Amino acid sequence: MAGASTSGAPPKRLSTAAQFFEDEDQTGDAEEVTKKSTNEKVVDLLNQASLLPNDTDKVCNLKQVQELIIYKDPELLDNFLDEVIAFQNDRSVDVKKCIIGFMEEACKKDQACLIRVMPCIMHLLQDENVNVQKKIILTFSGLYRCTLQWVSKAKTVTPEMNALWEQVNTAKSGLVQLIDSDNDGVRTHVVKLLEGLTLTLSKKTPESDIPKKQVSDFCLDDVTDSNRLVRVKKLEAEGQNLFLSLVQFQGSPHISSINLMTVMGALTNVAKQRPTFFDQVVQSFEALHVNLPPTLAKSQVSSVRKNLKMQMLALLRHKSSVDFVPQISTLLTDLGASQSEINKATPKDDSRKRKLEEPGTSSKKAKTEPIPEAEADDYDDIGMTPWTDRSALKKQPTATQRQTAIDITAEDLLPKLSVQHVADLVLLSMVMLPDSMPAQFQATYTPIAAAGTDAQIKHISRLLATQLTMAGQGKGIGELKLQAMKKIEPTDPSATPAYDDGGTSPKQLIQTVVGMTTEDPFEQARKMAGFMAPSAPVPRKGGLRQFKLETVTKPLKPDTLDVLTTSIFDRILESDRMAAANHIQDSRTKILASLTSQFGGRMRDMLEEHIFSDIRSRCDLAFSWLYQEYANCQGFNTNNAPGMPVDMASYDECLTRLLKTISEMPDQKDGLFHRLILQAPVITENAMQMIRRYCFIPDRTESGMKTLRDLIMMRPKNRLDFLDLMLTFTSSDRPDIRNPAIETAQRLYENDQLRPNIEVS
Amino acid sequence: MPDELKIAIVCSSNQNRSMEAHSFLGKKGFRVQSFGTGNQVKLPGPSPDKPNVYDFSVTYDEMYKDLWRKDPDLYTQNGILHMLDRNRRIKPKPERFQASKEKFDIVITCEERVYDQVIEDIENREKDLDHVMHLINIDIQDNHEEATIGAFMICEMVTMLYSSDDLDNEVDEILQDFEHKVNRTILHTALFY
Repeated sequence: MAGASTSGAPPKRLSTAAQFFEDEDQTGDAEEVTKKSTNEKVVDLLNQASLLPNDTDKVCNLKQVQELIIYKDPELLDNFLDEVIAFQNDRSVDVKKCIIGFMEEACKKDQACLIRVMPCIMHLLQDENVNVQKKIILTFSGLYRCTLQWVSKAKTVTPEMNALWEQVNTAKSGLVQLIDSDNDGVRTHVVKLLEGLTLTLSKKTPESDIPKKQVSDFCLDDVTDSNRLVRVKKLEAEGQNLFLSLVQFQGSPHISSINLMTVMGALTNVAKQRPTFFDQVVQSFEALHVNLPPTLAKSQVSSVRKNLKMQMLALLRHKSSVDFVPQISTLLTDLGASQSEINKATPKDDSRKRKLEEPGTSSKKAKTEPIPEAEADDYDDIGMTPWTDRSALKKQPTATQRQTAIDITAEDLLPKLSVQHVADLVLLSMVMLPDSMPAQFQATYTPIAAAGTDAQIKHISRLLATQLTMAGQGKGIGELKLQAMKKIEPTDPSATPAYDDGGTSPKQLIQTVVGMTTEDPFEQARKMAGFMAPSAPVPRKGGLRQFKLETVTKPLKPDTLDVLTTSIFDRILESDRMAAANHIQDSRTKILASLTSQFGGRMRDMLEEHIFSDIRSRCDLAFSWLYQEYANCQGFNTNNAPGMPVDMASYDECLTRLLKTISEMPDQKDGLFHRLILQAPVITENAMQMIRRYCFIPDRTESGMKTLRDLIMMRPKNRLDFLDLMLTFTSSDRPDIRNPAIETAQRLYENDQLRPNIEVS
Repeated sequence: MPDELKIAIVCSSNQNRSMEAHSFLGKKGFRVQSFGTGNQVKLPGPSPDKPNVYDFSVTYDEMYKDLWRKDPDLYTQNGILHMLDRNRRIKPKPERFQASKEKFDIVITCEERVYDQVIEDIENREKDLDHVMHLINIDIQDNHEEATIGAFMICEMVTMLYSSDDLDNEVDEILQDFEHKVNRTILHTALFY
């Protein structure tokens, strides 16, 4: 066993055996040499990369390094991981993105890398460049999968693993919340992340249609409750929540067109790979179709509808679409798909061919008829046999039909759509229509071909049911809640949970016999009438992001404000005849009085002018105004802060003005002054002065005295003041005042109550 | 964008509309490529029902020579030879989008049918899901005049997109402005692949 010398020694003559061993050694050496050279190569590349000024070259080097240490020679990965990760501090965005990609690949290869990689990921997440953030979001899906795989497969949980799991979950929560980010691109990427996480945290079924590259992706199918960190049920629930957040996001009223199309694609993908979500996805698309966000421009609406059509066709092609063919085909027809397109995409199924011959809507009728042979066809392979028992309990023997909430509500509404009710609905909603047809409605509107036919009525009831379900109302939702409640009750362990568990694919929305005493959905439909009317398109500026009213409005200039206020007031003033005709004078009076007393200023003049232009018919307006002023001053008005001191100034002013103008008026047949004084809640100082002045006017003295006398009798509070005034008159130097005053005083004297007071003065 | 956006212009035969835009944008310094989505390359023939059909592997030069052989006057008069001459100066032969492995940031299609074909192709590909591409359609009729006008519009749109710091966030608004300016309907979607 002569050991051959290493390369460099002259060739020796050796025996065959020796030669044999010589070769072996040399091969071993060759391997070592290759390894050494890979090592050197990597070192070389890394050194160069750190010195190169050009980003593209750096990235090129790093990609080569990635190729070498992950794929070619994975043993080197451990050695060089830290060096490569160090490049995260490079200024170039491309380099950072490259490193992120590298980290993902490294973790896929060797999950132990996760511990060293995660801090780097957390650091890069805070990077100011949004492209780096987006790359992280996109990569996180894969990293989470690796983490889950590693943790769930571990026999014992190390503290590091624990810390990693917590770290990853914290990061996940943080990233998921970025769905509300201001940045449209970030939101788009978060949607993809949610899609990836939903797929990871759910289980496949035999009907799952998974793209080749993702077939080996880790998911809950491979997870068991083997260690304390990972709980399958909890993760599954989390997956469902993430899915629901996707559905909710799709339904947001101000979603941008790109976000919308991305989430539609994500939902379709989830439905195809996890058919347990299929029905919810179909429902959500139905809801979307009738309720596109009003903020979309016309061309965006076209793009979205095109996308929706594509997604629906993709769903139709999937094996699980068999139960939803009617809904999906109706939707596709609405979106402009031809019957041949629909037929091409529909899964081939003998029992269904009969339905396909009929047009889309009437196939709904076929749906409700019993189809016993379909049971055997469709559900043997899925192992649906447990459910055929339950089907016996159903009113309608439709074991194959998985009725969604929308179906239940639609069926409930159908008999209620009589001509009268529909006419009422139309009238109610017409009030809420905008003046001109909005762009998005115009783009989606197709004239109704067969109005009034049974098929069309069914279609309408379905549309209405979709709207109701979206708003969380309707019988279907009630049924769901009831069933969810039932499921929460402790049942025997073998009962299948509300959501899918390992391929038996029960649908929790199957109609039961038990009726639910929900609010009459038709009443709700009345309330929802406004829902159907398309709302006017909001200004484009605010519409593409979260709509904030502040961004599209700005305060009016004071001049504009004044002009507008006066013109409004004028209009109301001029509308008295119309108000009389429509029997709303009281409201008008109240409005005018409130406005004037609240805002004063110019309005007072206007109102006064108005009143006195036709005092006889408008005196009630004057009184209302006065009372309103009083109420304001006394704090009866909720606009004033409670506890404010009583400030009679404006009341005083109002009263004085009215009195002044009345007293200056030429004729006084109606005794307005008298009436006003007597009806005024409080007589102020100034008012007293006015009375006094009034009495001095020759023609008015008598009525003035009468007024005063009445005041004395009827206003105990201020009696003394009035009495004083009266007695002052008695000593007036004008006989025409003095005499009536004395007469009055004499009369009053007869009154026992007043006698002492008169005697005193 | 810190680095240059990779742009692709796509029509059906990669002859007229996409090449006109390719030529124009190339001269302006953009990083642009062009493609066709059809199964074959179709050029007008002596009558509408007799087009000249080639495979995508045939070079522009070969097409030029072929048409020159057939009827030089006709094809000079209708501008086809001129077009092929321009094309062969830009690249050797037409490229099919479906065959391309490259990932672009912006893909612009010249016809709704082509838009649909691009989407279909992307959907059917094996996706890495690490790249987002904006697909934009602007309808351009397949004749020389319209192709020139279309090239101008595409250039304008690309310039607007280039000037954005955060394309994903601003693309919606930019396209709305552009649509308003040129008064044509734009279709737009984002695809991950």
